[in-house]
Amino acid sequence: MAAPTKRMIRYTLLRALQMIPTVLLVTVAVFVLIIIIPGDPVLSMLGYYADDVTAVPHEIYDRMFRELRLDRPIPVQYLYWLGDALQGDFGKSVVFRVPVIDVVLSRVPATLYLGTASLLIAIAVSVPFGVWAAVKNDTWVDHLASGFVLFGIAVPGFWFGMIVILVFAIYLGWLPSIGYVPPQEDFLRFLKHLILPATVLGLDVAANILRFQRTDFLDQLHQDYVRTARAKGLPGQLVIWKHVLKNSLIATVTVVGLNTARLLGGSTIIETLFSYPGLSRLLIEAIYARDFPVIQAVVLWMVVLVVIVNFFVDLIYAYLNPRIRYATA
Amino acid sequence: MNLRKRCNIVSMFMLVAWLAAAVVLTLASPATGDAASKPEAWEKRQGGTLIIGSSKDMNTKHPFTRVTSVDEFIKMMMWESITMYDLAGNLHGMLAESWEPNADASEWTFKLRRGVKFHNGAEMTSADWVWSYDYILNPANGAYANTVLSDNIAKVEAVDPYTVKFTMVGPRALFPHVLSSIQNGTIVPKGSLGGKVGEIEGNPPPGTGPFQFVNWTPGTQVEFKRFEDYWDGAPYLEGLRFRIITNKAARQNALRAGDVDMADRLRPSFAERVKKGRITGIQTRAVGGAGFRQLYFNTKGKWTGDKRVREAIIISLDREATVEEGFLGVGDPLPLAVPPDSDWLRAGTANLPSYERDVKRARQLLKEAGYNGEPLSLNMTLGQEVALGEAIVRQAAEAGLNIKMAPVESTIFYERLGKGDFSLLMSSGRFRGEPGLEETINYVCEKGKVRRSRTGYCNPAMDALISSYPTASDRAERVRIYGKIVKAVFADEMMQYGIGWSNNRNFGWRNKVKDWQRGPGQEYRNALGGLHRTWIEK
Repeated sequence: MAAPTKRMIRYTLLRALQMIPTVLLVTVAVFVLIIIIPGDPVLSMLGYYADDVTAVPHEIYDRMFRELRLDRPIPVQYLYWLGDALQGDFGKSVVFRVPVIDVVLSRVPATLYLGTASLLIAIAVSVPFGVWAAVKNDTWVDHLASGFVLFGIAVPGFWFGMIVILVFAIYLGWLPSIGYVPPQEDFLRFLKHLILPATVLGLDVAANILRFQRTDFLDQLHQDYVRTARAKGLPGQLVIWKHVLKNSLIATVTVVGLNTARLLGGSTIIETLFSYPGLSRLLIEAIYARDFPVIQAVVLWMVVLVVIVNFFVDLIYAYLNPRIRYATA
Repeated sequence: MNLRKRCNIVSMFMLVAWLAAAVVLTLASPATGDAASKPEAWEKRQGGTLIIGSSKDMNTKHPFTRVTSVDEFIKMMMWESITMYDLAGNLHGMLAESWEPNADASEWTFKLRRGVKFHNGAEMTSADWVWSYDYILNPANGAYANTVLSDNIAKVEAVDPYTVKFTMVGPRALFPHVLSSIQNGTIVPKGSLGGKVGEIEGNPPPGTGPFQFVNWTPGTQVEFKRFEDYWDGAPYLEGLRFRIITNKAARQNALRAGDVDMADRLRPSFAERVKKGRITGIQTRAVGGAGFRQLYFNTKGKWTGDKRVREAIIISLDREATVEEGFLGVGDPLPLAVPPDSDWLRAGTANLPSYERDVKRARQLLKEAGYNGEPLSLNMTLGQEVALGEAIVRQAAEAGLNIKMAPVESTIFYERLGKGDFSLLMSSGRFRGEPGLEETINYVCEKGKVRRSRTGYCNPAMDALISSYPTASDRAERVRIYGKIVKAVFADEMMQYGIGWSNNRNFGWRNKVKDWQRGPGQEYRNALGGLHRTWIEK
């Protein structure tokens, strides 16, 4: 096996192993955080208000208290919770009285579709536009790109969302204003429901990526190796797309990585505005309702996702810049 | 004309009359049974799925857990109460056809409505009633209504398949009113619940309502289909879907875009735009008495424990101005959670001072109490009107009161309420025909399992006064007792201050939705109409 490949495998394994303590630490944090938040899970589970404590028959309260293992020391509770969580058992939702895993899994596909579609839109808009703006520096194209970035960063997502709903759903009636339809049920309706929220989210992220992409690309264009490549007589398009683009992607990959995690778990406002049944909306509703098991499961999902995305970002770094894997190895 | 001819003519007339009567009866009969027997009008109207943008979701699939407002309104599609109010506040039988108390109302005999079927096809009988109430009354089952019903019912027994006798723990003249909510009295088939407290595996137990459960995706939607054998005739709508849209703006947009046919809790400004014709194709209706807002004072609180401070707070407020500012001009300032122009209001306010705003006297009272601007917390939920809280804080500040608004989510709100960790509490109220029944949880200190007093107030004389209310068979007597309760609570002890009704909640529906009647509050139905009589114009 060639040395660079060996180094890459070693680098990948090292990064993968580092994920385990990170996730474990987060599980401890999530568990402790839930314990210190006010609210009695037994009362919630029994459907009583927090001021009803004296109305609940003692035997019922005590039985539920034991069933939830709240009578055990906190470290023991944690181990039980972790053991169950590893088997996909996060308990039952306090609010809905159904298994948490069912509630969470019912939201995962919608979240993945929205996140992926938004990311694709963001990359499709930002990378070519960023390259174009850098190449056409200080022309109308560059000014247009700067205007787009300014708009994307300055305008709140919920406002932009309201505007697109008004135009495309209410005035034109082309697209639905709310909801989600699974693709297996009706693919065309699935796309129609996805377009508006994905576009609003995607353009917001695109503005962020474009800013970095343009600056980095511009920076690379002034490097010696570009001048050398051109002096050697390489075609301009080849220099741009093969050499400059690859080197300018390091910062872009970081921004894409950060935004991927955000898109897959932090699009609460857009999900609320479009009444889209994603995980972010579920988390907010669970927090309001003190639905502890759901909060734990969703936060854990989001954290694991961030860790995995970061892992892949690290791998892409190493691919784009071999010095990174050499240094680690 | 000979006798035979006359007889023939009479017979012919009788035959024609009989045939005509048969035709008329067929056309006028309720829409039940198979499609072939349904009248033409029904056939024209039937069909379609009504999509409702709902501000909240159903909480559980269990019929006997605690219900919250919208949760209950959704469940009322599949489960029904024993009795129900109409829009005018009159009580009607639903699952019961009639009821009769004994001389002192310590026993109640209910005649069941005949021909009521559960969604599983079985007929509802007294055995189902006895089983359902025994289930609630068994503390091991953890039913939420256990607290209220065990304070009323000692024993339930079946007299015959269509008659049930309730033996009460004492005289309970208002028992049929208690059974007007599904939480206190829905009926499920015998043996249909079991297992762990509050948990349901699979579908919820069958109900008797006009729509039957299809599926529920928590936080997303609840779906029902028409129940063909509904006792009051099959609904016109083929299906009913509650889409959970928690955001007001999103609900309004969805209604405008036609993504939903109906939506609840819309902004007054939206309704105003519809009224002015700036938004077309939609109708709106304000919910009269959408919710009453009132302040409770913690009588065990450091400062609010002093009656002079409580009085100072009350006279620092201008009710009219508070309602104008807090409800954005769409409210009714009233001191009590009863309908305007009702005998309840007249009896309640008869001995109630008007409490005109008097900042100077408020300052004097605070000075006498030794209060010097120490913070007083106003416990309120996030869902309540922040503008109302701000109006109260600002007005009270003019008298030197330092009220700090604390909007929190409901779990913390109730936790603070339970611990008495508040100075003032902003609470909702609603009118359900018998206002005296609502006061139990607020002031009764210890009475069976109904054990709490929101204000921390504890007085056996008050307990006795409030407890006498549900025992009075005569309405006039209850009105009189209510007047006494109000005097004690609002005037003598100054533990509560009524602000007014907020009429800032609106239903909206697209023009194609026909013949819908709301409930006496924000329900989707009442005893005489509702979504089961609603149809969609094709």
